[in-house]
Amino acid sequence: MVEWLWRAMSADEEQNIAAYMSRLATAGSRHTPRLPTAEVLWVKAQMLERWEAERRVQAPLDVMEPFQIGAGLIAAGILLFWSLPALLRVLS
Amino acid sequence: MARLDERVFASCYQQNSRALWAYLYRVTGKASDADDLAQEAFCRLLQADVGGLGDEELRRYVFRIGSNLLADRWRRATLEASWLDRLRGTSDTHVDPEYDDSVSREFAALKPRERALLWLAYVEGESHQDIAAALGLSPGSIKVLLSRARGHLRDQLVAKGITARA
Repeated sequence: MVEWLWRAMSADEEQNIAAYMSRLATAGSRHTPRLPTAEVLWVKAQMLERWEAERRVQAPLDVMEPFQIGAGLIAAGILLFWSLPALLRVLS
Repeated sequence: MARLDERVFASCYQQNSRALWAYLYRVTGKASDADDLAQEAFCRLLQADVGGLGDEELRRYVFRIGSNLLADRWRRATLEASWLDRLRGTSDTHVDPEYDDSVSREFAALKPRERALLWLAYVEGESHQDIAAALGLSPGSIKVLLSRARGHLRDQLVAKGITARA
């Protein structure tokens, strides 16, 4: 498990790794970066920030919405229960 | 501190975008992932209060953001893989990145964190302190982790018969 501890790296091996990493850093690839320009990223970041600010403002309203609907339903139920005798009288 | 202004950002982007992309590409092994992560890193840089930082500090900062995004991705991938394994009843979680050239095959055989460590140390020339900050590790552990990563890469190179003079 600790083989790497006692098997010290020789100068040649160290040089080998440095050379490999340097080759890797300069090696070409069939892929090229598909990155937008700095201007596009600037606009994107501004938009993301604006959406985040809107989301922060909207969040408490979104949290309260189910409570609002629940309170409305309960109020409607109470009103119906309260007016039921009068409603039945009218219908009969 | 304030946000970056557009001119400073454009200069920082010009100087560092390709280097950051190369780092993310070699660590993830996927060009499309590197595109997404590099964009995300620069967007986050724009949302951070880094207005007073110099060029070198900005470079380190954006590499740190990129490394954090990589770490998040590994954590998510590990979690998803472990769930998939539980569902399938297997323990094979290794996913080969789609490396496309022979130079990087040995590098691809390493673990993602080892690839990040080696890239930051050898290609970006970061100090142990900066690597620790970028990868969210303790500075004291970098020497050991880097030594282990070098050992694994050496084993790969020896197995393939690759030498410095090759």
